[in-house]
Amino acid sequence: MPKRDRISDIEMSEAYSYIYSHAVPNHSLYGAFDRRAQQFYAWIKDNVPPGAFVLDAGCGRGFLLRWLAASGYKIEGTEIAKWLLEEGGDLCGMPILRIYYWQLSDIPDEYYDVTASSDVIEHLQTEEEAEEAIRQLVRLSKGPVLISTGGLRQAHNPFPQEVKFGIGGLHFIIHPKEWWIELYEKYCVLDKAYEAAGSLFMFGRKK
Amino acid sequence: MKLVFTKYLVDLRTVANVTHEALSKYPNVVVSDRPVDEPCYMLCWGMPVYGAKHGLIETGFFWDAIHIDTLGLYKSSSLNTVLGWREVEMFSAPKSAADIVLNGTLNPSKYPQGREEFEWDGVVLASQNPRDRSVYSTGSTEDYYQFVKGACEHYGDRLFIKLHPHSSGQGVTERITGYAEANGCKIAKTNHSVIKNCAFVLVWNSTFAVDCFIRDVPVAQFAPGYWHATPAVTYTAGTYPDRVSSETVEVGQRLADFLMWRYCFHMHMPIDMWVRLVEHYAQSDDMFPLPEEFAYANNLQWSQR
Repeated sequence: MPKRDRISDIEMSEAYSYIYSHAVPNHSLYGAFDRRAQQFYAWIKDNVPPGAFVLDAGCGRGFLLRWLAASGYKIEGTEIAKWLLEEGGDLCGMPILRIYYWQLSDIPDEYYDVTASSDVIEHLQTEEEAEEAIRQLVRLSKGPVLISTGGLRQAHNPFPQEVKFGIGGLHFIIHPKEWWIELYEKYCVLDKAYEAAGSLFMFGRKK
Repeated sequence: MKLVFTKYLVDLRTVANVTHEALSKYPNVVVSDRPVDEPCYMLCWGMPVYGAKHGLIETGFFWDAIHIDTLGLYKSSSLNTVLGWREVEMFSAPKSAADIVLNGTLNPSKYPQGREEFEWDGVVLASQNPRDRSVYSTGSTEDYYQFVKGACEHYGDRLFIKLHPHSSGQGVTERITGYAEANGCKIAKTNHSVIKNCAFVLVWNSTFAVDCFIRDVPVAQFAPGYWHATPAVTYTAGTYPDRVSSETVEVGQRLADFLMWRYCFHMHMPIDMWVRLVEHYAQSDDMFPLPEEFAYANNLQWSQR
């Protein structure tokens, strides 16, 4: 299990609760979440039949999960931002496990047909944690592993109160896309990689 | 594919043509609150029911209009998505919603409005029922009261509170009136005259915004709702603006047109149209599947005043 000695899980949860509760006014950020979810949704619709069980690890506001559920997919998400799960929150009533990324290890092997994670792994605190996250997504999937990362550059901070963690704003890990693709290909066969909506998308299947 | 109509909708008196008896004539229709054990499409009320392709149905926006959103209701509506808004921007209505509502025989609002007339050049707060699901979708009843209290304190005698047409009982009106009187605000059940010359209308997430769109009145929205992430309103994220841009007005008109032609249909249309429409939604992968023949604007002959 990766060592987490800089920022506690609770501090992280509070930070992301703050971020989500203040991000809505920023139309461009809200739109970016949505445009990223669309990339995942389109791939799954084209490659996986409805009824399949999809995990979105670190699902944020749940755009992807809502789109998939409404199309007949079985869904589950994880999210650390408590604010999103409370009454009136975007994820209230949705099948969400409020767990931290490292707690994915408690879920049985190949529990899902598809695992996805959109712009989360660059927010983990070390490169080792990012690699462990990919390992978990691979372990939990029967095949497809869909990952995006914004860790090519520093994250813009659009919030009224500065959120101080990470070497690149909200991003702890910043590398060129070749680094991320190499990491992904250690565990998966890459179907396609491309940049869109400010992120790098890596879609493929476990080896 | 089976079509599953949620019981709440079928039991809802407002939607008079969708009854257990009427639906029993269609072998592909089931009334249930859960998906059935075969390929099905679920028409949900309020919250999604996971486990089947589904849409969420809700009344609103115009007098006897109803809509099915393919994604979610309130702040989770497809209108708030980038792809959804792109469709709104590209849409050109055969006839504007303003023209249909203001120059036709259609009742001019979702609810019957008060008869009293007022002129106001300050801010108008269009109040909601604090116990309505629209409020719960983004906060609590107490949050709503605090929103009204805060508006009264912030705007003082510049504020007019337009009480919800159905606002009564359970101390709702009394509590809101108390905040208004303590801060010198005007408060009444009134018709649309009060927004004609106002600076802007402030809402929590009320769909009274549609009444404003078609009357060229800018809207400030305090809490997330159907279109808070769109440029049709000024989303204030829990703050009280002293002025808002009028640039939202033209966009608001476009949104109202879209709602009337691409989003809403008529709740009083015959049952055969209902079943055909839901069959279409079940088969479609579009974000806004509503065929033009079913558009609310094309079916006003079913309206009841």
